[in-house]
Amino acid sequence: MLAIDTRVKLILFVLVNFMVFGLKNIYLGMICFGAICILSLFMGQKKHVIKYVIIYAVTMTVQYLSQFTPKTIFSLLSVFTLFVRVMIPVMLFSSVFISTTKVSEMIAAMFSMKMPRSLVITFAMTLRFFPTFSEEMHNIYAAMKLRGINISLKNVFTRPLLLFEAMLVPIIMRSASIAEELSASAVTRGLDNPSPRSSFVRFRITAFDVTVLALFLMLFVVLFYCKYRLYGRI
Amino acid sequence: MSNSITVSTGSDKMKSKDFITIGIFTVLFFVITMICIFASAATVVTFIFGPSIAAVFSGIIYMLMRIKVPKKGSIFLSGAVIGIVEFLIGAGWPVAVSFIIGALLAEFISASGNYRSFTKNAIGYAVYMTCFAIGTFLPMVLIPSYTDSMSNSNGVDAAYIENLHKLLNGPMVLVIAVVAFVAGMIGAFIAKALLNKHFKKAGIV
Repeated sequence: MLAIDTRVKLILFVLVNFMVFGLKNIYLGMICFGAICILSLFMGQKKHVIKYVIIYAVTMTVQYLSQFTPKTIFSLLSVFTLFVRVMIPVMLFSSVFISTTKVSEMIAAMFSMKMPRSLVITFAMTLRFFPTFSEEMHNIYAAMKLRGINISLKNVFTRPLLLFEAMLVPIIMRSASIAEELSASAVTRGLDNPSPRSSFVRFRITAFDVTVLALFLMLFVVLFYCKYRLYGRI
Repeated sequence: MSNSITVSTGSDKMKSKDFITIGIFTVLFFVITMICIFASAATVVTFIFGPSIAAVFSGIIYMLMRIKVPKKGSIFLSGAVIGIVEFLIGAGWPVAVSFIIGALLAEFISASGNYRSFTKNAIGYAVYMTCFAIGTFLPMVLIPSYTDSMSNSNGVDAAYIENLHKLLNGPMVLVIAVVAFVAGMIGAFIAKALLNKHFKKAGIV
């Protein structure tokens, strides 16, 4: 298992994003997905790769089978499968990214790239809050169920506004108090200290990082050249 | 620290506390917007008005953010973070850019009301969501290759592409933008009602 420098991972992410959205052609897209799979395997993320390869295969099968369905279903399905197929490589890369990068590494990397402090703190906060949000949401939903305001077809159609209010108001209240508590804790630990931030994480660009980056840049150029030859435009 | 009213009367420069507040409410804003967009993607017609539907529901979060952090740069910061997250989950760069531009415009509008005027904040919010709607659909009109390459490489039904092309032209984007703006204003007024009903009493605002 090889670790990649967080900054290199960020650059790769941008490259992957442009590749995936620029290359909707089925074969070029598959090459791109394959490259991301190989990279993820090198990073020791076998589980993620297997999961997304299976989803990819199922999507392709559905796309192939949809040719034999009536026209209206076919047109709906083909757009849906295209959407899923294009999204899968990015989703694979982002889940690998998240499971191989700690928030502290992310912050240290962003600081070392000279990004503004305000953006780094807010962005780190946003990433960190997503799991807390789903946890809070579960608790709120349990309370809602207890009072009979669960998400059922009946409730959605007869009292959608109450449903909306019962979900949104508590989550906002909780979020507001979490914001208070977290900032109190962060300020106590010296978040407002104006001197340059030190970090336990040390960054070193290794030969492996350079190789991976070079290979992906080459792939980027080659795939877009292929696209140019196929369609006559980028 | 315990009294949240001190936040809105503090100095003009943002502190760590404000960054954290913005980060947390940005997540709420993002999640609610995404739920609305995914729910609207069921049919083509509702999909076109997805950002407008989102504008109605997300208004409360946006207006609360303005009340909690009425400071220079707060709107732009939130828009920039949403742009980055949109980019990370793979929504494509036009959407990300439109969020950042919309946030800049909203920032200017709110700044003219010193970040505390409800009307200015509401207009800013409506403009913000209008930019989001335009950024989602204008590329499909301006860069027809976007949809063309779909039909070339995937065997996507030509009729569907034609429908989308027919539905999405210059005037239609204008209609989408106007609807998004109106929806944004409605969202802001719903936010005002909800804020008065719940959050004033609880001391959050």
